[in-house]
Amino acid sequence: MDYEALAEAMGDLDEDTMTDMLNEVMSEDKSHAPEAMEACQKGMDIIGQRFEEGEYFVGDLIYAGELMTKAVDILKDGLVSGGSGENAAVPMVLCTVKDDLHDIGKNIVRSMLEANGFNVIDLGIDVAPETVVEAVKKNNVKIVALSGVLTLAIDSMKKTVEALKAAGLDDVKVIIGGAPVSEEACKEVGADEWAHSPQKTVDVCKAWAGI
Amino acid sequence: MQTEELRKYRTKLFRDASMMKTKPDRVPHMSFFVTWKILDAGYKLSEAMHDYDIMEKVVRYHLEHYDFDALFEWGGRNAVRIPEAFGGGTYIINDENEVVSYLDKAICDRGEEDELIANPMKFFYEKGMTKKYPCWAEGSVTPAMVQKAYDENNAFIQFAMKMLRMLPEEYGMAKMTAPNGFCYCGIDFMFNTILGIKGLSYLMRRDPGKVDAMVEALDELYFNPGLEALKKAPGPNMDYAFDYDITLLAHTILNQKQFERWLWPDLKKVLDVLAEKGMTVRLFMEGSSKRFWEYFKDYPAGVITMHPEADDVFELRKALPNCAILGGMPVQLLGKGTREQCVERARILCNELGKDGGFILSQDKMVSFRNDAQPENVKAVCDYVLEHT
Repeated sequence: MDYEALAEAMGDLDEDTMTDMLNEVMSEDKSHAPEAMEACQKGMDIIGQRFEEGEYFVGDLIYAGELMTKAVDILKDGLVSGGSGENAAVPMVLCTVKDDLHDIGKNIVRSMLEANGFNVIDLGIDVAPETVVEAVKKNNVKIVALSGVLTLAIDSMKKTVEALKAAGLDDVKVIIGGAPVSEEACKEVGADEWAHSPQKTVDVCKAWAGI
Repeated sequence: MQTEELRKYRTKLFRDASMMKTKPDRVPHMSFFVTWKILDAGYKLSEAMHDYDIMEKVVRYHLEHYDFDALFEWGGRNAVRIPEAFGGGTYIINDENEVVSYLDKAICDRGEEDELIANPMKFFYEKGMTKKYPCWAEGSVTPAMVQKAYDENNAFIQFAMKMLRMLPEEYGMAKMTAPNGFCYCGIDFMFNTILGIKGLSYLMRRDPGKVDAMVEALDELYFNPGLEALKKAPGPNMDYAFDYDITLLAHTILNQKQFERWLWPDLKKVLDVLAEKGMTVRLFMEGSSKRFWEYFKDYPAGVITMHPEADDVFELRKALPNCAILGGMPVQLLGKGTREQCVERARILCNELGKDGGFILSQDKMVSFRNDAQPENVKAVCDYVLEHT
């Protein structure tokens, strides 16, 4: 199997080629599923790079998320038996904050974080601060990513950061993302970082996790 | 000033600013306040959105407390009563948290595209309604429900007409947009209602030829008749602030090639007609439109008034000196800043962007939630514009 070609197919968002190659891996030798998964993850890096360069945009990232889900689905038997390196994944919490029901941006970020070695605990949408605190404690998480589209999300993000601090979780790093966030909003919220692009979110979280 | 005289004065402010030939007497100021108005007037979202008399009081309260020159939203943005005739499900109103959410329900699933392409109107009634309203899918819809929806639609139209008369006749507000019809770009329709964000993202990559066919079918139904109507318009209608209004959403997911293939051809047709006739348009592109500014640079001055949501207005002026600018006042500042900070921002905006005209002050986002703006900040900015520009 040419794993470079597989990464390129993923990077090119060429679903048919990617699917054929993954099916070939699984029909020939399931034990190579982890290598195939790694190639798909490299493909996601290519996608992130093309987004940063302006060639791809949000619709392409949504489609990429679908392809990644499909890849995991095809490879899952091989990943379970062969070991996918999931043990090494860094846990982190991701959600859309309270009173905001938007999930598309969050889901894009999730697929890119997962492709970059994070075990993303996705709490969903309209998530209350106390739910975030509980998940952080339960999973011993050190990174939290908060998403929102509505302007009121800034207030919910601020309440979430305050709840984390009130619970004594001062060592947890928080990044906020979505349309209303900005440098000023980041200061207002008390977050450590902010991002408009999923690639920046990935880069920041990787730096925090040391991976 | 008498009401009619005030309306004409305000309309001229907008016209001078948008047509970019004469510096306006002062910077015009447009209200882009939406559901915030309801909360500010002391009502619950659900009561105002279900009762047109209350909504009228809301609008009057807004106009009587803040001195704007025009009101973009007159209480009709969320027409909740019409879909509720079929059991609702389109809007979720949460009075406790003061939030209105619109449920993004795509009406065309994967594999159904050909049916829509063959006959969009048939598809809307036979498939689309079943996706939006459970009663339609279950077959439990009754003639009484259809009549109720029809009556609610009429009630909404009556309310709209009343408000659109009230604003200029009682408050001297500039009338916003001349009645020149509406061109609904097929790709935007697909984004908003038919496929939704996820469905359109998938289809553009998976089967771009099908997107071509859907755009063509939808344009035939909605865009082309609108364009033909626009072509018959006699020219600028100086009785209104603008001749045309375009709000775009789909560009927020499109890459450059997709924009060029599916949105720009339609948008260009409209802008070309407006430019040829010397008419003006308020162009609101949700999110950032910076990636597409290049497409607007060759239009004559005074055709396009850009209303940016997420882009820097000073950068926009440098990039597109041929376009007037509407906006600039950050909701973030109106909500979290002090009166002094808001006035200072207004001063900088009016002095720098309005020094030679071509600038209309407004909020950078639809003001929707209570914390989006503090009433004293809004009032301070309105007063500043009247006294100092």
